[in-house]
Amino acid sequence: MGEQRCDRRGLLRLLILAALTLASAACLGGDLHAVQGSRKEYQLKAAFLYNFTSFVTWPKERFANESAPLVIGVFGEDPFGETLELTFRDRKHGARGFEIRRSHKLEELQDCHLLFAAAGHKKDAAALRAHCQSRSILLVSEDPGFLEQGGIVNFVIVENTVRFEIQVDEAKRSNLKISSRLLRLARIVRDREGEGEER
Amino acid sequence: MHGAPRSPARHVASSLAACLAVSSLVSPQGAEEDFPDYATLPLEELMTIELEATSASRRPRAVSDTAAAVYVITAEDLARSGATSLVDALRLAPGVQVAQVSSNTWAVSARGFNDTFSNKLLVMMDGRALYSPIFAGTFWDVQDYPLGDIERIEVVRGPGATLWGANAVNGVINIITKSARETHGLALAALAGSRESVGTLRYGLALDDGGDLRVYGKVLGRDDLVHVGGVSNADEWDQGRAGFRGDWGVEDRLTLQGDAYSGNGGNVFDLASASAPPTAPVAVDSEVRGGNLLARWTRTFDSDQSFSLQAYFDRTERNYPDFLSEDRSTLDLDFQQESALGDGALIYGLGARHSVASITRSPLLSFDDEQRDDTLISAFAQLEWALGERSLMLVGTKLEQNDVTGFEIQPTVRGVWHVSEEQSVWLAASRAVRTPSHGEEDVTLIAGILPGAGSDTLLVLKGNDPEAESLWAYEAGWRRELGPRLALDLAVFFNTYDDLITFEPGDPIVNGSGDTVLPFLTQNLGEANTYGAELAGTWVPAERWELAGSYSFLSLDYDVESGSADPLTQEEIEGSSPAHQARLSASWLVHPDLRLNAELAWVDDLDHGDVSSYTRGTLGAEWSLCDAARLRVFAQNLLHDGEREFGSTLLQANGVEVESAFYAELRIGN
Repeated sequence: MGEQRCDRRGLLRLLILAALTLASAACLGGDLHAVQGSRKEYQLKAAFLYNFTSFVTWPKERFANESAPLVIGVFGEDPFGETLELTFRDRKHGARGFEIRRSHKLEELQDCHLLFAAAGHKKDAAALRAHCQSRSILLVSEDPGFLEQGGIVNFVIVENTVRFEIQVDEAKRSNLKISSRLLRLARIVRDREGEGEER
Repeated sequence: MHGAPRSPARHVASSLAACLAVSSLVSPQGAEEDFPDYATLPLEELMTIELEATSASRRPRAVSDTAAAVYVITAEDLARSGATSLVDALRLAPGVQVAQVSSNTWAVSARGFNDTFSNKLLVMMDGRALYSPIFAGTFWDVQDYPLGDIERIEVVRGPGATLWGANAVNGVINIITKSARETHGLALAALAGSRESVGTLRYGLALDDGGDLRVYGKVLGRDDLVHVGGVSNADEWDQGRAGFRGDWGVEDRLTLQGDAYSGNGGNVFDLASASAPPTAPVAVDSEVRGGNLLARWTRTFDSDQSFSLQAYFDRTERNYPDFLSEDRSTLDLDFQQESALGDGALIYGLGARHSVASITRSPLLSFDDEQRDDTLISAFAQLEWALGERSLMLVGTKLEQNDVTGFEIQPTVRGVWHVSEEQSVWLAASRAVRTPSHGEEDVTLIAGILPGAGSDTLLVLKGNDPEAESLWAYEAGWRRELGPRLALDLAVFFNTYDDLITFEPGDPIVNGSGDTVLPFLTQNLGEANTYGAELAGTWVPAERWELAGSYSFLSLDYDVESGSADPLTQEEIEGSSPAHQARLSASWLVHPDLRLNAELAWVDDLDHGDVSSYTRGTLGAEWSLCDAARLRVFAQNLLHDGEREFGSTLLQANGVEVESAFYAELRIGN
């Protein structure tokens, strides 16, 4: 019986700990990091982003000089956590290094070359499109149907794997050259009839 | 308490020496602990790496989209858990009951009805059923794999019968191994400790034809455990296995894999005895051997149509000398087609399984047929469609024709509603059946002997061709993300079981040798209602911290129909699954090269066998010694030393005393 009481106390301790944990969770706001279950997805997506940079050519004037870094931006919610830093830290893009920038404000993301908008930012598609198109920023999203509202590359999950689609007309309008090797692996999306420049 | 323990220090020292000698051969890998650097892979390969849960819906989707109670144990969870076997890792999942009964025997179930002969849970590995028709359950002693090559374990509580067929009554567990694309290079793991030693070697490479291949070998040895009073359970256990997996293609994917194993162990069984009536403990050896070969071809057309074709052959041999031996060969074919259909999808499939077994008789245990073959034909169809932007409905059914109970229908209706980006609610109603095992069908087991003057009375369990057990399950769930750092998952259920198999006393008869036989015949006179709730949460309070917790509640009310005189089943079923279970784990990346893990779990008492509640602690630390080598030390079953986890079962009088254990493991390579 004594042993039992002891174990009940064990449960009590555990419940108290859980309650404290939940309570402090409710009080804590702060930085954004990936929730555990989806970590692998974002480790993969970070690797995709790195790969994309080798298949896209930016206009020369987007870089201050030959060794200016290639800037990867994350707009709003950041599902990557430290994964982006871990993926990009020891890598080079030719003579350039990588720099990672995060912000909830587009004006702080003006000199990005690639801008990632996490799921849920479809509502900001118009603003993102306006921001990116004029600056030749490769806008990468992960919402189904994002490419119909702007955006150039969109991640989709097919057969439990990460795939991507590319809006080739939007890429052209943004003055970005995308290698055919990348296009071959993507699902291609184009403007609908009657849409295009005036959209 | 028992004989001189093996020297853990010596184990560790010799394993370390061996590993360090090999480490010079391994090329350096990404330094960050736990970080698989996918950016080294070309896009073509990245596009083939699989993500999350498939078991609940039979097509891949994120857990938050699934209208079922799903819990995914990831490779990271496994590495941090301190579990040294697949079955121990299942303790991480809420709503699952895991109790160790001996060094090589476990009782595992979901949502109640736990037993070593637990029969309402379907377990699969890479699409292959780990199922023994002899007792309609899983022999956990032979279910093993290099733990570092496990991709994830999906645990679905509640029926999955519409997709996976009979036996997926209370839950489905799908163990999924990594694609060969993710296991390149040499990896070596040596674990040594106070209870067991495990050595694993794996080599993976890219093939010239664009495919990838890995081969592995694994050996393990476990010490015996003891019963109350210090009597050894004679259950030392040794096992070796080897296997391979090859993966080819992107749009057209081919997987070939196979394993072979051999092991031996023992247990003390409680067998009928005239000299020490009604039963006496007898040490019985066990020899197990087996292998399997599986091929799966998956083809994707665009992104909205795919099919897969899978075939496997499985061979198991299990021998308890002078008691029971079974040799079984199984051939299984499975076809599945999925097509997008407007806003939804239609998935359908066909399956066939043929199994040939030879079962030997012994004086205590026999089956009517020494040779038998069984055929199972099944078909399923499932339609999913979107209701507006935020809801998904799903209806489906399985139709199954088996040799034991004939035709069975197992339908389900499910719906999930995404209230917002952060919140979803789901509902489900399903029917599932469990077909009787060979044992329930036609076993003759002399379970006890009552000696008398001149003649004895034999208590005999006898299979009497019962019907299938059935279940209607009603489930609901709620998932909520509170900001990006906290996620909660709640599931509630009400299950109503009918035609549960009982053992009914029959008329005594006098056999050829003049003894009186008191038979207990299988009949479908039991019924039960269960209800319960499972809450699981993860929380990332700060950058390098992760916390996870769960609480599971189960209420089980078993009753027999009028006409039943089954004296034992009610007490055993109601008293063998804990009403409350809780678990809390924390993981802290102290430094890029050092991670600390801790877990505390509490399991309520069991009335059957008078098993006390217990608290189990796990503590561990993991260092990256250099780019290619990692050292892990951990302690299992802290605060839980010398306590039982389970009461008596049909053959085992009482669970063994589970001991605290201490381990060190060196891993070299990825």
